[in-house]
Amino acid sequence: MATSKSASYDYLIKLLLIGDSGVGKSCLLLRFSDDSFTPSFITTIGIDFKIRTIELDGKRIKLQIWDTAGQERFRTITTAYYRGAMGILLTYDVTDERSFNNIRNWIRNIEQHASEGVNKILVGNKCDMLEKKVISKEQGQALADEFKIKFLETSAKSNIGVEEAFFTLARDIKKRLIDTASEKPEKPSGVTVNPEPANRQAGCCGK
Amino acid sequence: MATYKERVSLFERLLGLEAPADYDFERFRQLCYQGIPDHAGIRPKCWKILLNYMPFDERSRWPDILRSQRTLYYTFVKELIKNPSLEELENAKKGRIDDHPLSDALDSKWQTYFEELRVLEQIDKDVRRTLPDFAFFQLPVPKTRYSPLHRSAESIAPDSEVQKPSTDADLKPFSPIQSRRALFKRLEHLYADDQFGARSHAHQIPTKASVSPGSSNSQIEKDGDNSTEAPFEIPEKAEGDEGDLHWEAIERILFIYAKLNPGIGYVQGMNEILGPLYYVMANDTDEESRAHAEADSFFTFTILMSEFRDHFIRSLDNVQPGPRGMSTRSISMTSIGSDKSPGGGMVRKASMGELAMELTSGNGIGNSMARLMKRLKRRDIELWKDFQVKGIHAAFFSFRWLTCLLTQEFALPDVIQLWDSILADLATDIAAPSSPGSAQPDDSPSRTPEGYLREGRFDFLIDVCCAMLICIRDELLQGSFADNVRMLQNYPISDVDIVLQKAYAFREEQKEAAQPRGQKYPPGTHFTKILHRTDAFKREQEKGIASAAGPGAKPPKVLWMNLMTKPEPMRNPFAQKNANTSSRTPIVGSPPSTVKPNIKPSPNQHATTTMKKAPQAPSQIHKSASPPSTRSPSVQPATSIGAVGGSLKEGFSGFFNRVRKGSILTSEATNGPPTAPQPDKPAETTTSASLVKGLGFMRDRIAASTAAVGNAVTKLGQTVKTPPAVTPTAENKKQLEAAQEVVWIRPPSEEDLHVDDDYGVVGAVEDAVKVRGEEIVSG
Repeated sequence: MATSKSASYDYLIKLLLIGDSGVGKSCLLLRFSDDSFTPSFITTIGIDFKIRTIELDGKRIKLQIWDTAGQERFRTITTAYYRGAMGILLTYDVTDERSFNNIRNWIRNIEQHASEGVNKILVGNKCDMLEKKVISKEQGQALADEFKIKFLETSAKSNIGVEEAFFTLARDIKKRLIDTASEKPEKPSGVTVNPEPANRQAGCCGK
Repeated sequence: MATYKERVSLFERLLGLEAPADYDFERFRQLCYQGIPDHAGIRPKCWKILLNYMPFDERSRWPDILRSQRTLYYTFVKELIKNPSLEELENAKKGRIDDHPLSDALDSKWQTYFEELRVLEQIDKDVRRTLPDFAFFQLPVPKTRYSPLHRSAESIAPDSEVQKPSTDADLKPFSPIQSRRALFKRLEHLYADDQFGARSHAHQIPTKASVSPGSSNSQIEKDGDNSTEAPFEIPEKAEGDEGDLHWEAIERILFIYAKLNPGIGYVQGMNEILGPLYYVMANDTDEESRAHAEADSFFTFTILMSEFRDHFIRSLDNVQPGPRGMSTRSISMTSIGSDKSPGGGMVRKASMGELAMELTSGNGIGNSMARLMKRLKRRDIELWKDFQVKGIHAAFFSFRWLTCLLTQEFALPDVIQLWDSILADLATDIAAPSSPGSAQPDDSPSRTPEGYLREGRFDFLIDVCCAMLICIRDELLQGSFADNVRMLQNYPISDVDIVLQKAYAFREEQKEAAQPRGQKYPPGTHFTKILHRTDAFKREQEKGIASAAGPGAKPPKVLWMNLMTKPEPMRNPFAQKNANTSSRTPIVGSPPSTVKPNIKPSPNQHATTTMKKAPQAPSQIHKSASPPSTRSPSVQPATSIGAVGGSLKEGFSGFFNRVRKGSILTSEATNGPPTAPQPDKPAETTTSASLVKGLGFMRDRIAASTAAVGNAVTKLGQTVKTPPAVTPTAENKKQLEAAQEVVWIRPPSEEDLHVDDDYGVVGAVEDAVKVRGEEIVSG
């Protein structure tokens, strides 16, 4: 956590993790941001938030990742973040068929609340649990194809595919933003606790 | 340790069976507000009294009340978690749902059963995650002769003190409940077919791994059948193959609560609230009380939830603190995505019942967060403005703070200490229930017995949250959006005393501000003494007692908990934590005499305006369906069964309806399928009729007291906060549609996003808050 505060960056990318309760969203995020895993993570109530700065093609990209509660009761608060998100990780649990079937609902939800053209990636988590797996990779891929989005199987526990998922999404977003929007101002460094510069928010999203 | 001992003995006297002459409830409450000694069963009792589970003034009835409530809970366990037979399940599995004699096409019990499974599965996921770092919840519940759920080897030992000779089958609550693990069996069954992924108990709990689910359960049933003769084989299998683990007890409580309170059902975060309650009850030093921890936790939880349930209801998220009353209450019309087919798809529409609630209650989470920000604005305008500028919305942190009553922000022992004060404060609300019919917002100020303006219900919780912000104000003012959100979501101060002191100070200020210049109370009164504890500290500090306090340390609250004499065996983790707490508490090591001014029993200083705690059976019943009856002082079987029957009736029908419609289920994104929301009044009636028929318990209870219950149900229906009692009219429908769109924040628009970078995602929300802030100020 301490490291992510310090670096300067060229782009700020806001990501959102959604999916049913218990599919491992918080664990994915913890793996990605802190490279750690805990088998029994507390329930996310409302929203959570992490940051990691990555480097893509020589550019420093600060990923601001919002982790949402899966339960329906929290939809009021979680959908409020859809609009600002540039990329969304749609997560299901490969051992939980229902969470997979609900992906369609989540996509509908995105269509309603997120910005047009938001990048998406489908993530089937817990792929290490082979003996309990009920959703095959092919099924996941087929669903992703149907919605024309990318797909990856991950395991937060075994650290499979997690980096790749976030990087893939970030790369797509970067591409889209460079293609569709003009170049953004470079970012000075916001060292440690100092307030970060407040003037960059060019046309990435939030139309 | 004299003072600590004095304090302990004072509490012991206050909790004795003889009512203390010099203390009334208010004074007792004040005492608890400052912290309850962590000593030999004092806290569980205090909490039960504060929550009015055991009415302070009716101690002669405590044994009866406890017994009857516990009996009631065990009845719930027996009747509500009963499973259909295997054969029936098999039939259902094959899709022959309609084959069952009791089911009909519309209201299939088996369909309901499967819907319930989904609720259960959600609960199951979460309770496993309740305080995962705390080993206690993974441990088996100790065997005991007192509880029918955790029967020990000696089984029904003759215990004349507790075990009254029962003449009636109904009054044999403490015989073992064979079906007590039926709930978990349901999950095992579900997992067994591997369709949803086998997260079986056996897998999660190593101690059970050696015993297959099937054999374990049949064993239990066998035991149940021969209740007295066939005790569990405790010595060898005490690891918990038949016994429950603590988190399983929590699971059972939550499931029963969800079933009895369909207006809310189960919502994530409830497990967090139940955690401390259960922990405290289950660590009572009195063996009998400890044995009934599950039952007692259920009722205290229910009471607590009746105060906070609005936080868990999504349709109340948006309610704005309107000026006053139903007609003028403004409901925000802004909506996330209102330009894109609002209300469709995943958005769950409010039922008419929820709409009714919306119009009569102002305690939704949105309102509570607004209260917090309003208070922050008043107390620290600079910090408040900084929040606005950086775009830090209250929802980023206080949503969880308030929903979970701070349980996720501090370690359990600190949470418990915090709750002493929060519950003591809450006792004022519980004693003075809101009047749902009056359309008065619950946060309207009221004058307390202490003579200051109380700004709504659970006032102190808001104060604590506000204190948490102000305690780290310097860091917040320096930090960026991202820094601050992270800091607020991982609250940096682990010493809850620092926060508590701040919150106490707020209250004092409040009190001073509200007090007319002329002293209301003579300087020597009990209140004054308590309320000027900061001064007391100053004095003590001058005396050098607290000289160990570090630089910048706030006057520390005296930690009676830290000074506990000897940790009980059950409290190992706790005790260890206490040690830590102590070490970072500046005052540690100083004699507890610092508390002296506050605790000295002072008969002559009895405050002039203490609030008499009146028995409040009738008014309490209004507050929620099932719980109220449980704490009604009149525990005549007829009364309580009537009331419970009523709530159950409402409960079942509503539950089933909602579950079937998918509205209760949350994570299953069945949410709000286009077909979902219909005003469900008519369906409800028929459903309840048939469903009630289907359950023996319900049938017996309700049929037996139909006439009596009829009225009660009607009354309850009118006053309970979640009744689907509104008949759809054209106007209501309009409101309903509006309500569906209501959100407490509006979506960011492009111009909203100019402020700064990080702020972007949620930038817009602040405007909404600002608007509301103005409203508050002007209102």
